Amino acid sequence: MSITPNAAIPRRMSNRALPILVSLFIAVVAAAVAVPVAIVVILSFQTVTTIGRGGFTLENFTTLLGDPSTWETLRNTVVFTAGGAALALFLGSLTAWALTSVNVPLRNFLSVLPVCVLILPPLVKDPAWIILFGKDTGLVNLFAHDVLGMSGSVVNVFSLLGMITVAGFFSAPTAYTILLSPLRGVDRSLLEASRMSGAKLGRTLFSVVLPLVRPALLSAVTLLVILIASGFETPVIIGLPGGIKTFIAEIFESVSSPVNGLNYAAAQATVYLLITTVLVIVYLRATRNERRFVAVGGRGHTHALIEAPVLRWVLFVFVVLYAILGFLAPLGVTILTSFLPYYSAVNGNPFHDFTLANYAAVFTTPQVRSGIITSGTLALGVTIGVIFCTTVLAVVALKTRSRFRRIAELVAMAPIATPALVYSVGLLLTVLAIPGLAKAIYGSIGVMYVAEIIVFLPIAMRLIASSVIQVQEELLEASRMSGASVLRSVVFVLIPIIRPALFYAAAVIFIEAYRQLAAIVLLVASNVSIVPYVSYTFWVSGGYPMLSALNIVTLVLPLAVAFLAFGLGNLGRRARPARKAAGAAGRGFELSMERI
Amino acid sequence: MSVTRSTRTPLRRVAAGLLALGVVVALSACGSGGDADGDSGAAADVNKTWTSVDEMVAAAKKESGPLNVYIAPEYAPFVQPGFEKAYPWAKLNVTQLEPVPSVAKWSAELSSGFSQADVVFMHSTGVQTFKDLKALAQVTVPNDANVEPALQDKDHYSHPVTELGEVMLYNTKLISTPPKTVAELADPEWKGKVIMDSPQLGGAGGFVLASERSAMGDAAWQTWLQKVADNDLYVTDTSSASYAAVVRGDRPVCICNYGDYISQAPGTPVGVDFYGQDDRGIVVEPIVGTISKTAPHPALAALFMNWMLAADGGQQGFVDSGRVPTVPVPGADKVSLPEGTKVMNLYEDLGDYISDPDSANTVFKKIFK
Repeated sequence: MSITPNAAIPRRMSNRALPILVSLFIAVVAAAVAVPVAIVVILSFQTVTTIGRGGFTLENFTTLLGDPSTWETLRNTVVFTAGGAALALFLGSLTAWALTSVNVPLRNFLSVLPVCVLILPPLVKDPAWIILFGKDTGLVNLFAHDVLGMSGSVVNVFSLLGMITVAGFFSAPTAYTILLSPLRGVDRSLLEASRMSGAKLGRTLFSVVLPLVRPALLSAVTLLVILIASGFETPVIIGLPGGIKTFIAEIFESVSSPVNGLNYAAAQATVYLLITTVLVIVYLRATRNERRFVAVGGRGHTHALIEAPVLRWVLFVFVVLYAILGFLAPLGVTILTSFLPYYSAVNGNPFHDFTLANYAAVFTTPQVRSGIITSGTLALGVTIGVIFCTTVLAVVALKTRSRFRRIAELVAMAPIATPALVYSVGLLLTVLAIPGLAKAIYGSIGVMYVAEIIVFLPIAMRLIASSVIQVQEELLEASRMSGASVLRSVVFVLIPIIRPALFYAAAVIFIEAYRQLAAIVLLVASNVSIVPYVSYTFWVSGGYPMLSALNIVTLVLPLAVAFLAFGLGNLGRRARPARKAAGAAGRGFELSMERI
Repeated sequence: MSVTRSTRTPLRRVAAGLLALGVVVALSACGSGGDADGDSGAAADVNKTWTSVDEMVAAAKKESGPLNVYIAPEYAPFVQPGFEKAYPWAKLNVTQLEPVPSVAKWSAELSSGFSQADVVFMHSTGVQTFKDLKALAQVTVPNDANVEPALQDKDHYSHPVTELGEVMLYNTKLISTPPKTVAELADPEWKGKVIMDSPQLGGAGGFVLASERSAMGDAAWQTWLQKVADNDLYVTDTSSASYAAVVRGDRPVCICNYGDYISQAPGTPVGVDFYGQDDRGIVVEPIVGTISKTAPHPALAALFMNWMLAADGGQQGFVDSGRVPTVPVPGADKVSLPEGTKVMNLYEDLGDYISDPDSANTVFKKIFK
């Protein structure tokens, strides 16, 4: 798209300054992304942690690639990742389609539940699924054994299939939030045309809707694959007891090793970086012709719900079941456990002898309050920073012909190629390497903000980019032709259209940033208490029931934010008149009931 | 956004300049940093034997600025307020870090030549790394003499502040008698019944398995380790997770921390066994405090360390939070190991592991895939 100003209108200063400012911004973000990663790569070719010392060596790589367990680990990672991503994509996309395109009952309320799955931290979700589906003591197996009289284990979460199921259920919200806006943006006229041609619902779905949202699907797949591959909680909490190791769990162990662990971890991270870089390139090539997928245009764009008397109830049950297994059941188990002195399933029903002692401990611990405030403040600042950065990057990458547009997209996606923990190491070494910088900001909370903003750029980019892609360029061109500046066009035309996606992304980023530890574990400022560390203290001091009580209390803030953000996002998509630039015509979105 | 000719050149220059800046930043990192040898004057001051609290207080008051401490999050709540209450004129900058990332962070700082840490707490297995880097000061404080002899660092590089007794915890609803020795873990009787944290992570599992090396000899030890691994071992990431699994009933026995046992709720069906009482005793691993050789506040660091080892100071905080002290503390019976419990000497029975943990970790990695 070329937003070319009318030649008769004098060029404003902002038209010259804006490209320079944007280029500067991209360069700064690129440096913040690239330099720490470069340092990690350099570290992988050394045997000491002092950059530039110790000579160049391939020892770390020969050890890594010569170890047979590396290949087994990679195999486990591929199977775990592919399976988890496939399941997450199925659950997330079907849920998104059901709640945006079909007249499912209570869909406005149900639309928030998938995001609530994200709110539960891994230290709650994974143990909750162990309690539910553990091989020997899981509640499902106990029920099957004690009530139904079955022998053996019906389900076993400590298996590769169990890990895939856990990853699929807990990653589905990512696919869901990516696909929400694009699915809402599918124009009614396209569906009507399919109906008029005699196509049934299924054919319309696969031949019209899915191709239209292909960039979003590809975004979701890419993000899911990388997120699942780089997640270490499930592989550590569930995989280790099951004897299943993934690549990222190996990196976690290496970083924890007291001697030269960082160099070996850097080598592992470099191999990981090569694989994920290929995935990112595949994604970029696949979405090269994104203009073909514009669906949100100006005049005449409407979105319709499918009225299907039977299907709506089938999908309602599907969404409710997903919400139960992904959010309500783990939450319920956590709530019940929080009232126990200890959790033991040896003698049948473990839920007895309820007590408030755990909550008393939580409310009388000063660090809980300071941790919530610090983590909440940090998450809010990170969310604002991430949304701002990715909006700029997404607009440059997808709505301009700037020569930096590919760089913008690459910069936004690149951090996902490096595990958060390893990026943290790289950023630590980067800051320490520059004497003036170290003295100015090392040990400050600012470095924590930088780390989390960079780490979350890819997630926000995928959540926002799908919606930006779908906005027709003619809308922006119409604004420019009417005399509006580039900035004004973006702020008053593009942003309102993608506002729901911005709010959804803000909800996701806030929740992730609130409980993030890997990206900042080596960068935590002094005299700062954060929720993940308070959680760990409770875990080692009081065990799972006390940790459950703490997690219930600390869930209130991200839960409130999720509901608020989604509510605001849903407000944004209701029928309203579009802003009118002089000479530009546009009708707002209208929701209408249409039988197909 | 139309990139017209008039803006193209400045854009290129700006972009090239920033790219160059990035390269300069990366290159400036090369060759930077150094080892931990500080000024000879500071090193001489830091390596010291302090004979009285008054001496430390007088010297510490001449130092300006807060004391920079790296300590685990679970200790920070009582350490910072406790020390600042005891010495109101002194201030702490506490960075909450678990022992393992603490080692990684401080190691990176030393490599870059930018270490501001005064006192760093870590597992005893991390001490040798920093001794090799010449980063640790040899400091003796008065309360060092009260530390349990089996845990004392005779070279005074480290100061044990709390001890982690690695014991066998067992679910009393599933079994009545756990293994009596660590060697029994390889017996077929215990196949599929034992939980421990991953040995490579240097926690309870690693320490207990490593404790058999000197007694068995290296070859026999590796054979025994393979049998343990083949016994369908249930591996977790932390000893707390192992304990939770035993309480839940997943397996009957775990190698866990004594602190999990003493802090458990009344009625929890878990018992404790102090294996090896007829032999060398149980493994006790301390969390140690070290003073940096380049500490900006050496006297305050020594004063702080002395307070951490005081029965009415830091040690009381450990007792109050359910942790085992390393010096005698009145009223510590409820958290201490039972009187007469035989414990291994850390530096005699586990000296190889303490001084070269990577050697054992390499074996662990090979066997416990």
